[in-house]
Amino acid sequence: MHLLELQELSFSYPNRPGVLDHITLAVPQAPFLSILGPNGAGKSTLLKILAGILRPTYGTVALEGVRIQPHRDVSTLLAYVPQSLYLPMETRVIDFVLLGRPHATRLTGRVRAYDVEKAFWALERVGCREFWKENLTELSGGEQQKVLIAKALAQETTVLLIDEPVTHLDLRNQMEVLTLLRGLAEEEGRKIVAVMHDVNQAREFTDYALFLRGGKVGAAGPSREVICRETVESVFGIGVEERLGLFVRS
Amino acid sequence: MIQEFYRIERRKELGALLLAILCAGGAILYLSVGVVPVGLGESLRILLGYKEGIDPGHILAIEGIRLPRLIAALLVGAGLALSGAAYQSLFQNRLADPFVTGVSAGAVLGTTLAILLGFSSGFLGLGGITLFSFLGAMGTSLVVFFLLGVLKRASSATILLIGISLNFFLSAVVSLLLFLHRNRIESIVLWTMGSVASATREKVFFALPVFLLGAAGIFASSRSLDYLVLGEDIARAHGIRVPRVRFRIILFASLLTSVCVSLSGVVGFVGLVTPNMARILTGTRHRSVLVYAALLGALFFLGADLLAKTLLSPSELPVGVVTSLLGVPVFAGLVWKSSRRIY
Repeated sequence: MHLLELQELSFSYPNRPGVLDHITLAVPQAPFLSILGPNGAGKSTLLKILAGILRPTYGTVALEGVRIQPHRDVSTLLAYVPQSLYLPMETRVIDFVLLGRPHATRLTGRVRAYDVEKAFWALERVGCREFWKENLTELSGGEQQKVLIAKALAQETTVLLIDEPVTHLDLRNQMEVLTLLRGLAEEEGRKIVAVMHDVNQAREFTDYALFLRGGKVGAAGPSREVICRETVESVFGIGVEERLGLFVRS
Repeated sequence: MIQEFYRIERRKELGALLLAILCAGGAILYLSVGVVPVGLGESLRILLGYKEGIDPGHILAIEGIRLPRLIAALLVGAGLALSGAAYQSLFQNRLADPFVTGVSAGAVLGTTLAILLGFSSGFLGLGGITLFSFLGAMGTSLVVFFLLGVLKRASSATILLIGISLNFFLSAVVSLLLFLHRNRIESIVLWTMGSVASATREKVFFALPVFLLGAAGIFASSRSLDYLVLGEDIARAHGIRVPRVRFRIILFASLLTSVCVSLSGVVGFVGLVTPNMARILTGTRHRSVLVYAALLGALFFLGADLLAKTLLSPSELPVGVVTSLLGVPVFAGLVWKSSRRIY
């Protein structure tokens, strides 16, 4: 069984055709898959199709052998972590994480003890247990990102789909979040699929890399092999060179 | 930590119980106060059906006049609060209120037409104004539903804009009608200030099933609202069929708002503020937010109407004026308090 199977997958927005253009691809089992590529390449769109948020214009997509279809509740198979979250009301961290347990609240309004324990466990796993009473919007960017991941963990799914988990974070928080994701993949057997921008981080932390460019697959393969100077130059259209194991602009 | 979590949960449950007790106590007080004062014990006995030895005039005052008005006040307060809470979460906007889809302007247009066309007798004892305001409000909702059907990909922001545009358009029609019939302005303007003084058994019998249907629909959507408040993407990722659920929530909230407006006229503030108070007191889980909002709304409206009918007794103030005058300081206090701690 493949981690990801795309068959002729196409997607167009009403005023933007060909965001994804007839992609056929099978990604083998990998603990941590990164989706890379320039802005507008269709990375987040692909992730939203995988999460069942967007309906493909054409073609099919399957994750862990399960065909993803919009309006089908896939929240037991996968958890989706958006790039950012707009919270219009004060939300306590624990209440947010409990949303990862859809049936936590009984008809009476009481919360089941088992689900509360799971939510606290998820917060513990990301190192944010002490913030359970805090207002989510008042946490730092790194802490917020970890709480978003905690909600996904509380969902207890095999697959975690994460859109740009470290984009707005400082270097320390970037490392902490990526190390956390790597740990989830290695220690708990979760499958992480993350949209990323930094090819160096993708090479260091992920097992398999899928490059998109102009709605098509630019390159795909094990991260150590496919993330090389030629791929980066052809996908991003810039000259790079490798120094001390890192890609820098030439 | 888990013990503390449950301690807070129990505190919230006790809070809801306290609000329910306050509502019940407020209701007895409400029945006792009026031009003909009736003792609290006497009111309770009449309410429970133990009428032996009680002045028939008191029984008539309570059963014929005050009880329908009490039920109307409770329904309007709870209904506006539930509708406001649902819209605020659906549109991810704490400033949304029950009239955000243009329902109030539709109701005012209905009432204006009823007054101008002389439909005062109405149907089944409901009164032309009640009937026309309900039809005006629901008619406006139907326009929103039609536009939602046409614009299948409409976002919540688009729906909000449709509602605001409808509000302006229908208000302009009302202004035009008022301008052309300036001699009738007073009765229409008075109606828009809000009052439940004209509540009758017939009106309550008409309103109760509509209210129950709307409230049940909103309560049944509480899980969807938990996710919709985080945005459509998150809701979809949790398997919620956003257009369908959104349509359902707007339908039930419109039913609630329409029936409230037909009972009381346009009463502002309750539907905006009490859901916010509920969130400050209980958090974000809608099962609790909705219970708190309904109880707070009912209690708030009851208190406001009690003041409206006693402050200048024997004449009455429009309840809409009192809700705003009373509500602003109460809400300001809660916001100040909540800025220092999260529930």
